[in-house]
Amino acid sequence: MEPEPDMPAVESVDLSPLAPRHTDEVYARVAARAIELRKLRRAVVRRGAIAVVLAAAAALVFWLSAPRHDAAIQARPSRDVLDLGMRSDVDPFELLDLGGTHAQ
Amino acid sequence: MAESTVELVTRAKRGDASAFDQLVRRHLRAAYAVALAVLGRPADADDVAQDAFIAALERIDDCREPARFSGWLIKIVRNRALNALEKRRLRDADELTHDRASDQAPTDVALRRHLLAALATLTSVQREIVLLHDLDGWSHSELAEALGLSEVNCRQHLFTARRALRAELSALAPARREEARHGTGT
Repeated sequence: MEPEPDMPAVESVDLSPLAPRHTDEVYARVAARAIELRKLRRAVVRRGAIAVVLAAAAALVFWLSAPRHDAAIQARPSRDVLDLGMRSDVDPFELLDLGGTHAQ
Repeated sequence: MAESTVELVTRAKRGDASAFDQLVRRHLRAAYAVALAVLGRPADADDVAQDAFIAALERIDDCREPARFSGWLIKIVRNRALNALEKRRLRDADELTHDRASDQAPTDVALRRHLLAALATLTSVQREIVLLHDLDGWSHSELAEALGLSEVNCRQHLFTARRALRAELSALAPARREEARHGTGT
């Protein structure tokens, strides 16, 4: 059965025997412990953040100081005898002469 | 004039030690009530309530809505209490070894035991509502906001819980009288 809003309320049961015995000492201890742990937590977070920033900076320095991949590709000779032989506008005799020069 | 919980939470976030103390004084009993609703043992509930309160205040910066501090705290306490309940089930310890009420008069111990037995017959929501309302003096609007229920729903739960408690305590009354007569509370 659901009570109607205007239904007379059931008298409350005395639950005071279950009430905790919290003294000023208990309150002070809980508050002090919470403050202490919060300070510790904030210190750990702050140091962690500094460590992350330093690690990121070090990684950036390493990355910038490494030889560039594009430069390595450009340093390679762009064409050789085989590349030249694949082209249709190259005279075969010129190519043979070139090969002969290379052979010597 | 007493400071509002919102002001206290804001001050606590700034690291004000007196705000922490005020929050503990104001809300520790509610935390205990929620833990007791889950665990059913006053001593365990007190331990869990204090641990959960410390954990909550340690992370007070995570409480983004200070106006809903009570609801936020209750969730933390409930989760911790459920974890403790799970651990306790694994331990399967004897209930009486954990009751620190041995310094009380035998009749008080018997009354506590019967109240706890009667509370155990309620649902977890009913236990939370009846304990927060009748032990810590929460209003229906506070209960509704903290528990995510409507006020009418809270009133219904309280009505049902009180009626069930009275019925259960009436049924247990002869045993309680017998215990009181023999002076054996444990």
